[in-house]
Amino acid sequence: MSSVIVSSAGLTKRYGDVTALDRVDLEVTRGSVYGLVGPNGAGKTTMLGVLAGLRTATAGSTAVETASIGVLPDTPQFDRWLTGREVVALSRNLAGDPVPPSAVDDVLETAGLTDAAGRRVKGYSRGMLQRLGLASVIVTEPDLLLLDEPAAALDPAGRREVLDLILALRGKSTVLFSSHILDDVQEVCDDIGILTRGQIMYQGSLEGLLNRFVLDTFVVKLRSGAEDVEQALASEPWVKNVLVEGDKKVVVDVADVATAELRLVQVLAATGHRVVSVTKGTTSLEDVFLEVTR
Amino acid sequence: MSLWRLEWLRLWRTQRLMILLAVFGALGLLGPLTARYLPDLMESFGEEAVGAVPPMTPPDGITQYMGNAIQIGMLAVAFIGAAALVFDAKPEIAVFLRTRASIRDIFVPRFAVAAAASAATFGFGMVIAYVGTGVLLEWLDLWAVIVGSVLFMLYLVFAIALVGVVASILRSVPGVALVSVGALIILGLLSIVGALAPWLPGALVGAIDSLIRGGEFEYWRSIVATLILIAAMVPFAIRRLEAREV
Repeated sequence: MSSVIVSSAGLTKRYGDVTALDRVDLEVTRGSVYGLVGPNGAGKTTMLGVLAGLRTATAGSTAVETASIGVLPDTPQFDRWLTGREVVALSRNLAGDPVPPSAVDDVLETAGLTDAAGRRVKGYSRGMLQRLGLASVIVTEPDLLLLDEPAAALDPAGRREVLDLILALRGKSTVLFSSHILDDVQEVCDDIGILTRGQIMYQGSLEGLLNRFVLDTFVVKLRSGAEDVEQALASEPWVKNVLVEGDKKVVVDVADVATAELRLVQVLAATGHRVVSVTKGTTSLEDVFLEVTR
Repeated sequence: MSLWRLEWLRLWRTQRLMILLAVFGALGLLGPLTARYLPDLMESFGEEAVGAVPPMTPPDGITQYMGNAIQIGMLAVAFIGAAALVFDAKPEIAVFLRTRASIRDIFVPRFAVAAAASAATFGFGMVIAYVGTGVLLEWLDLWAVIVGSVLFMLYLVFAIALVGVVASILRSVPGVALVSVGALIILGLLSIVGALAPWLPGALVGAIDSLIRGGEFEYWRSIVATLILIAAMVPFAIRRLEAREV
């Protein structure tokens, strides 16, 4: 069994003159949670649609090494006159696999919909529909889940529930989900692909991405005198850039971390201003995303 | 829960079955009532009005029902067929179905249940029209009514198949229903070409009127042509829907 469950080579999709996907080479490892990140209009939904077989590629190829796929659109909708339980039961039945009927109630419980299971879908909130959508995908026990913005437009509690459901799938299925909410991706993903204007700008492990783009910065908090500190640091050869934020905070971008660790405190002491703290700057996925897509 | 049960629930819970029953039931009641009382009604408007309406005969109870069924009933059938067969109208629902079942498995129950419901509710209206005609006017040849009704039911199945084809081209329920009705009207107009008329599905529409008046059974060509068209249109619609992107 191949360790790669989804791949694409030179995948291109055009809608008339608009190129939604431009020679995308994607590789998703079996069992991983892969986050496809990008701004609105980057081509994420098109990418998932092509992989799900709902859209045809203009050029290039895709390989999906399983027939057991669950797909969740960004705003799941169902026939309004069905109950939640009927939606999940229909999904289970259509999957064709020998999933026991008891799985329906189990999945509804996992999705926190047991109490609402007998109610018609037309009375469901946005978050409940999202969880019902996820339940209807999970009940088929797919090898691969393609989730399009599964937590977008949900309130914090709803988002938390959906992310927990995704986290619970780790190790059981491969999850490929698109999102523009970087905190969500950073929380649940093993691997990441950054898609912008139809092109993959980065692909690999989340950890590798953060390490690759780690910014060597120090954040200095002072009682006062930020401008004096800026002047003192600007003349140091190991300093690349100094950014003053108000009168009490200085962000120092350094060229040589080792030298900075030796000299920074000395330079600060020489200015005579009171130092509250010196911390090494951390890199968030948001920082990296902006760097990569700039 | 299967796709067949889903279609039955769609008919029942959306009240569509009740709508069809109400439409054809009302038309079935209205047919014989019109045939029996229209002359009396016109008499109240004076002698000139009486002359404007041809004298009513017992078969007119059924003829009146068919006249309404082909207009109002067909519009209801087209809308209810479209509501079932346009499953790509909402992409999110289309994704749910298309990623779990083949287009054939989705389409066939929708087509079959919509066609069966249309035919059955038309039959329900015909029973009312037949009994009403018998009670108010005169009992007609039951066999002619049954054969004529079955032929019109076949036409209804053809109409639903046509709705399916239009649904494979358009994605809006009203659009599909109205274009389908338009296409049926245009097909009906083709009957002015004399040589073509016996082969057209539209020939089945007038069959019952002729049969209850003692006309000969001369619909084999139309039956064969309609069956061939249905057999061609269903796979055509399925292939088009398979090729459609969501």
